[in-house]
Amino acid sequence: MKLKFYAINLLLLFLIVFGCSSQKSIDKSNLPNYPVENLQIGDIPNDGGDGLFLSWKPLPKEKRVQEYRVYRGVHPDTLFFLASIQVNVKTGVAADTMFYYDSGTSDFISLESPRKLKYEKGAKNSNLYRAIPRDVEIAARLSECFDLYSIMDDSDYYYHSKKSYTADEKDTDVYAGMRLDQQIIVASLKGTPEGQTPEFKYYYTVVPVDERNQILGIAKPVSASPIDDAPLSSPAFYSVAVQDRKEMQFEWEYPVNFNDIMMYIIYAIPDITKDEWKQLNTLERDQLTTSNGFMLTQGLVGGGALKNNCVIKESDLLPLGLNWNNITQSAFAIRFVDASNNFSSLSKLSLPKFIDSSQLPPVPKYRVEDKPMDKGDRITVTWQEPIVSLTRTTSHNKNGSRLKVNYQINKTDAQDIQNIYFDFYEPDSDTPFDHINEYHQDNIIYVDIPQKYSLRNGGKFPSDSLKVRITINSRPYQIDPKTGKIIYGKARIIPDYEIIQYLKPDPAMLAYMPSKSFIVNGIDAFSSKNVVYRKGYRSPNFTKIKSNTCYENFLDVSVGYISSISKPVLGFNFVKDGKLYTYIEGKRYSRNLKPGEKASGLALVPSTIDFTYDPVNNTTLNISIYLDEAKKMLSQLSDELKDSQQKIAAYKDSLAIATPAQALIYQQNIAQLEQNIAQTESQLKIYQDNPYFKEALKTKNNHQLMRYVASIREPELRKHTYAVVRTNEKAMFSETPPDLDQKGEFNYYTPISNWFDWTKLVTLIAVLIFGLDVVIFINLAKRGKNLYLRPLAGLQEIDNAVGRATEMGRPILYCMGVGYLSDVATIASMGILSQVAKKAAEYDTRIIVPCYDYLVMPIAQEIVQEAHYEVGRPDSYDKNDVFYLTSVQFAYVAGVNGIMTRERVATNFFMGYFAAEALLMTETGNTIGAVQIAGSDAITQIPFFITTCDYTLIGEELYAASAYLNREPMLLGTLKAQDYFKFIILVFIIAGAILGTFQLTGLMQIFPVK
Amino acid sequence: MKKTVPLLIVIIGGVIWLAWVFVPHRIIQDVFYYDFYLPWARAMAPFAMLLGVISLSMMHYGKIKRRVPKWQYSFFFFAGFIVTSLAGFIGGTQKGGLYMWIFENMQMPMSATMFSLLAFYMASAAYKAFRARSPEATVLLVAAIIVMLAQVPFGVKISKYIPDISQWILDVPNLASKRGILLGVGLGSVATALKIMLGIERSYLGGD
Repeated sequence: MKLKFYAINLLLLFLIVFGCSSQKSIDKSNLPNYPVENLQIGDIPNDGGDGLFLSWKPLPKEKRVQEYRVYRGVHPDTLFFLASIQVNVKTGVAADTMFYYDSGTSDFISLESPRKLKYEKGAKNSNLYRAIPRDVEIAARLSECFDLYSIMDDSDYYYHSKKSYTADEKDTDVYAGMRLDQQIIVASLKGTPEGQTPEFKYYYTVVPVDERNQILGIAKPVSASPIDDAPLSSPAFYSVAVQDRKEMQFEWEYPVNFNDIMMYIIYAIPDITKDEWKQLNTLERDQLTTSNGFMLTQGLVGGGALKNNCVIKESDLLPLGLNWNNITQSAFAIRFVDASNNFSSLSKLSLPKFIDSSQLPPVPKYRVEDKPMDKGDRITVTWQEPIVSLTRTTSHNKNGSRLKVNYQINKTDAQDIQNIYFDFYEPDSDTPFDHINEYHQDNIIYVDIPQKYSLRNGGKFPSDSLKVRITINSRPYQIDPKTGKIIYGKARIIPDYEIIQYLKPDPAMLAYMPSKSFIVNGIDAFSSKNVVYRKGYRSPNFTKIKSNTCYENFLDVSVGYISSISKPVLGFNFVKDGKLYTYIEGKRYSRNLKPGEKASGLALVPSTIDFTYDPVNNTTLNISIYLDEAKKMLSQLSDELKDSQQKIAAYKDSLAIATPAQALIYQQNIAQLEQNIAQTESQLKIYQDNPYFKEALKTKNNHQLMRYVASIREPELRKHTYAVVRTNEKAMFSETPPDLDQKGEFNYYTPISNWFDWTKLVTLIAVLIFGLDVVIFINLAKRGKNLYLRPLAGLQEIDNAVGRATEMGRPILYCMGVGYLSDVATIASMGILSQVAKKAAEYDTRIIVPCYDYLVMPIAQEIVQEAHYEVGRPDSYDKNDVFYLTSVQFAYVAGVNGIMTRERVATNFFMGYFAAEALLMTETGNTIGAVQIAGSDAITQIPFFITTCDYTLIGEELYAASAYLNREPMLLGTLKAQDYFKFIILVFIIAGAILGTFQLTGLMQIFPVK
Repeated sequence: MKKTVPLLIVIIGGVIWLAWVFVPHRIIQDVFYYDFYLPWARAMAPFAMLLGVISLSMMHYGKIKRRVPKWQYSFFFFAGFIVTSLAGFIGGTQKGGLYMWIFENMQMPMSATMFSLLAFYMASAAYKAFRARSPEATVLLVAAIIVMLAQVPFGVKISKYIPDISQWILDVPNLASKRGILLGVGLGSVATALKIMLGIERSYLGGD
């Protein structure tokens, strides 16, 4: 009865608390009215026509806004959540205006999208909805206003797509139907060409949300249409005339919005000065270029991904009717063309800089290697030997004559440095005043400088720079392509390779600092960049990967495994009221479902996939992902061919009776059909001759087909060739020659997945030796050899501690710490628990085990139960004494401390991994007068245990405890083996320290650093 | 059989994890770890959590039922558990909801309170540790005083050498002993792993 009374009171309390605090569904009419002010929308200028920007005045900080949510839709009454801009609740937004740019792609439907159309929380009956739901009908209706792309797992596309047709009876094309939960669909806005009436309008609103997650007001939606306008002109354009080679080199930069720029055009304008050019307006410049100038060259830029430079040779000028003299008397300008054929204005005029080829940066010598010992997703491009550079210095003694110099090493995993030699020179001296052999590279050297260069030279601050020459002794290497093992040669000082830096006195820093000069082999490389490009096996162009500074000598290029596929979403199919509906290309079709026809809501994506590349014909062959359709492909091409031939025959027959006007039309048609036939024949031949395509058609089912397609397609997509361009970014550049084989074809590189990490060979050997060690000692223990173990006071006292609890009639608390089941300390603790529980069960003493990890709890229960059964006291086992407490650190402390004080425990065991809670628990144990035995491998907590507990097992003693208590030969053997192995380690440490002192680093280098 | 199958799973799992350390191949690093292990681990965790919740509920229910001393506190467990769960399930766990309110205004201050007690306990522990009852304790006391003084400007006022001595204490004897313990811990971990893999250590299976 009393229990019911408490239960009812509790229920009432809960209902009151929950009822008061829970958020009500707020109608629009109940919303506080603090919308953002001055919400405006505009087209992002000079972009690809897929961007709009919003601006608004943020609310004052008193409103405690935690985020501004942006909603977007194609109608002002239905706006879907698009993005959230988090702000600091306390400080608010200091700026007067906030901006949001909706450009590129944004999530249309993702796995986080709601299943059904739902109002935004706290905005019921308003125009705000959560993200676009995973409802095919809604997605279909919205699809005509966006360009949609599907990103899906490759295996879903290969094996789990559904062969689909549209509801349009005339459309015989096959589509791959994907469920909405199989993919992420991203959307970009549809732009309108400049000067045309916008077809699509997008509505936006911005909503402030306070820290209580309450919407503060909904601003009136604003709308706009993105306009596809012309790109901006190049902000920087440089030209260089290499006189001895008679070559023009050009290099340029892209404007801010460059993603849709497709082409560049360079013009030469003779006899014009920069001042004259500046005085002309855009139109006059265009006119002048057309009348006086000439188009020198043009090329692709691929949205800024391709090379931003080009070279024009004298031979390229001849077809234009020009010669080298024409060029040298010209100035140059560049303009860009975007995907919609919009032209940017012309750039500033560039007058060429006349140089000789010797002034160009040296052509980088690079090597492309598989990154050794990885899972096969990295390629290393190395263009230089290891780079060592000084980074800073500090005085290391009172009079400033000893400097601590920090240096940095940049090298690949395979490059191995044995010694670095630093030679320090006085100004204008060829004899070094200090030579340092850095055999152990700890990134610090100490150098004694002459007193006259000291920074504390009687108040006289030095003005001259010290020269530092750096040379490197390293081992040349080769990487075994099969195993990934690095095979090193004999160490030698790298020939013809030296780095020179100057240490300049810096009065502001009161230290010698490296100057800007960074001279490698006599050439100041400070301002040069090494730009790495790559070209895919199927691609005709090189694309930029990264521009690297002069301090970097390699780039690890990521070449990931193919795990996803991106396809345009062509349309949607869904079923409603027994009818199949299709939305495709902005049109809607419907038809009744046929008897027995099964259809469902699907996104329709192309059912053909890029299969393989034919390098002879420079063509990528596509194949249907459905075997029957793939087989039809060749017959369809043959049918097209026959059809065209029949039409030609018919036209030819008609020619005899045709009028002259008809004959002319027939002749044109015949020519067109013959062209088509030639193309189709060529295509048919390519497909018929391709061995991979032939093999693919031999497969037995879709699954087998796609496995084969993946086995050809995916490795091809991972094949790349590389190039490095060294440039000052002002048209002074040198490019590596194409990486060609003997046949004149590109060398392509694919990363290899390696089976063994050779840097861990020593670790593996050590593990094997240790394993052998363990086996030997187990056998010795089994044979009855008496293995001495040093006494551990903490473990010897377990009996006494349990006995004390028995005498006092109080329970024992066994705490396994805050470690998880995966922690070794927790596992070791379980071994000790087993022994302690046995003793406790023997003496009929209660043992309480509060667990921190819910995975540990059932195991601890099993251990304690087993212990009770083993000593014949199953009746005394109470399952509720071994329980899960909490996984929150300090809540656990509170719980354990509460148990200690309530139960007045006589003995505490703290065995396992502990953090900050250790002292809180042991001190509480102290206050109640409990005997405490602790053991942990947490170094930071051991001092606290030693201070507050009666006995402490330090580090490995915890692991040894189980064996110590058990006295089982198997466990004792491992313990003894551990001791001996520790001795071996000690020998190596001492030997390494002694040898290292005498600059013999061989032993140290055998062992891996990490 | 009850223990053989789990033991077999552990041994096979142990060998695979050992391979995970030495084999960088995609089959181990991606296929095993990301495609197999992580999804399984994620799928198992909620069930284990449920086990923990049932255990805790059973314990508190037992306390209420048996009217053990201070059994009324167990109601607080049920109240907290139910209110927090419902707040999370109904209102969501995002910022601004009741769940987060409970976390920020109840659990966090309570945890902070527990943590702040550490300062007092530390003072008490320091008092015990620094009582110079033996030569070792005296060394500890002196070292601690130097290190503590080096942390405050007053230490430098006393002697400019104190920071250097403090740094030496931290870098040499302290680091050496730390590394010694770490070495033992590392080796102990390997030994324990080996014992588990070889089936010598079976305490984690329940019983010994």
